Amino acid sequence: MLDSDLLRLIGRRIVGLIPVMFGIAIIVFLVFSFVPGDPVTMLIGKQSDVSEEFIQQLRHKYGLDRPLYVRFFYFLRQLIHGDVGISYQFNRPALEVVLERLPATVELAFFALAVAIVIAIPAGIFAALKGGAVDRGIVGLSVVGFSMPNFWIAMLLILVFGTTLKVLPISGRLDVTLTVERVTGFYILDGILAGDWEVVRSALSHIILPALSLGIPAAALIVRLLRNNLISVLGAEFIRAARARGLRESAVIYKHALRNALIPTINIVALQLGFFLTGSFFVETVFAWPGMGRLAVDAIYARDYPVVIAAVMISALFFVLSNLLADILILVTDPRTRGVR
Amino acid sequence: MTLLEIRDLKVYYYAFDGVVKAVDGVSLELESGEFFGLIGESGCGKSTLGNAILRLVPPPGRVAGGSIYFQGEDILQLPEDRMREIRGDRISMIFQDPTAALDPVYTIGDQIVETILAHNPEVSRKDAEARAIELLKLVGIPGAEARVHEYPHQFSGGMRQRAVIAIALANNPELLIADEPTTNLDVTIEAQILTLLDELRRKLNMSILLITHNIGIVAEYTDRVGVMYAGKLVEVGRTVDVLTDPKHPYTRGLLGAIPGRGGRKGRVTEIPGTVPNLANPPPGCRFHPRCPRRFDPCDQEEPALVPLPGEGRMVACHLYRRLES
Repeated sequence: MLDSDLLRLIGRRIVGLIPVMFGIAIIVFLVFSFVPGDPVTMLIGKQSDVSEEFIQQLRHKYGLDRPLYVRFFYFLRQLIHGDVGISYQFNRPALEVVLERLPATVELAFFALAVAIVIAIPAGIFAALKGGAVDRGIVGLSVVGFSMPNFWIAMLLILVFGTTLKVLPISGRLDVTLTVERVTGFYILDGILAGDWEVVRSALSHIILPALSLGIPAAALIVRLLRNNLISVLGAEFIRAARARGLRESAVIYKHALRNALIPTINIVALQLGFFLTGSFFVETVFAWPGMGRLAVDAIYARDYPVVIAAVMISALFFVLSNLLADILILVTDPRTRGVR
Repeated sequence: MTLLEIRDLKVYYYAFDGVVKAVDGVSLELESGEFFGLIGESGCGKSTLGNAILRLVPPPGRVAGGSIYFQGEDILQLPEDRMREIRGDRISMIFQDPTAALDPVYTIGDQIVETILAHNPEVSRKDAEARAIELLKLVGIPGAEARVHEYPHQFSGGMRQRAVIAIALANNPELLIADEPTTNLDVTIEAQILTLLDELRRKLNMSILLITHNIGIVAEYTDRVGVMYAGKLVEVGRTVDVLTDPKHPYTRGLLGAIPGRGGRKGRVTEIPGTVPNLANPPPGCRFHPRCPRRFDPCDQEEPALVPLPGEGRMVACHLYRRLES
């Protein structure tokens, strides 16, 4: 039953993804058609010695001199072939530009999620089980944690670990003196593949602070949620029944209470992962992290809408994928969701 | 042979607005193999008494005094890990709502197997699974071989309660505490479940402590009955004796409240007044404000449980103390 449920779920999501991607591309295209300013003006910037003729040439090259409905038609035709257009800033296919930045964002998202889970799960269990002052302390910290914007956490971390203690790098993904052959684009993985431990060490030390900046607020949210779920599950009748069956307290808590408490937490964790994967502009900016979030925001300023569309489409894809992952995990952990059409 | 002896048990809930004396000095004996009914209104302390036997009174409740001897050993004095060995092995419990009592994310089989393994670590998982199927057959679940792999939500209400009973019987307990096991089930299923419990009691020679507010099922299934009111045991005796010739005015009132029997000309009578607040119970006999036969000492002196003629017959009422002296 589980297998057929999984196939049905995955199939349905992939089919559902197609209209979502098209819809998003069209919305972004249309929004950018009405936003003041155009790519060519942004591209030329403050240079004053550009002739009007050259501007017209550029506009013609990118088709910007055509009426909106014509451009829209061309855009749709491209889109059907999986092409969102050429980046005005880079003069290369926009999708290629975005995909190049993707590994940085994905690598950071993975570590941020690891930070969030490693902090949140033990802290949530501890708060729920200990109660009293320990619980209030952890809940208090979690309020502080998710009240702080992540760029603010980033600045604090830089101040403490970067400029005061000088133990961790605060900018970029790798020491400028190092290079690694780009295989996967994930520097840590590429370092391992190349057997270059210097690169691995450097990449790891660069990722710690950005991962903490993203992971701490997420951890704070997950702690609260897990603690509340666990406390409510611990009050459930089946927990008392499990004790009445003479199970060890560890089995009562970790086998029965925790699994039930994790089910509603999975969705929120997936949502956080979705946010991480779309790239955090703030954290990427503070740490000069060459990820997708920063690329997208820069592209918006430059009115480089093919890049924006590509970035937004990739983000949407990641959101759908992280939700799909959550649904798969829930299907595996909660038998009540199986066999339901 | 006496299986369980409760002496002067006190279970109090330490709430914000005072101490609620849910069980206040109850003494009771259970014989090996007997079907004992504990009856009373909601909130009289009967469920708390059942939980106290397993030492699973939910906080802020606590056993405040007394002792519970199980086969001669005071289980209130046992360390927690010894008590755990007794739960689900020698004393089992089944609950009012089978849906809430089963963990929704594990199969019925898993929950039986883990109960067996918790008390018999030497048993292999395979043998435990075979035993799980055997137990499901014992409690009358058709297609046990397949259903052992199903989850609680795939069972109907009655089947779930059978599964809960199977879990409770997993280690052949000597005592089964059944806390309103049929309240959430419809009447035909209720009869099936109780008949099943009675058959299993005979077959496995265990005692059952049935906690209920339903006099009908007490009359039909139990050997002896205890009547609780406001945290006190007010009357105890053989079921036939108590139900045909109730002594305590509260028991009489209860029986009068059953449709189709007692009362004036077949009419249902009610007990006037309401159940007292157990944080601040009335002085003397707790039933006196509602009692049609109260007299002098009732609002001052608390009546003790005294023996009456008849097998194991006891009542806590000043009317009979006067008779006795």
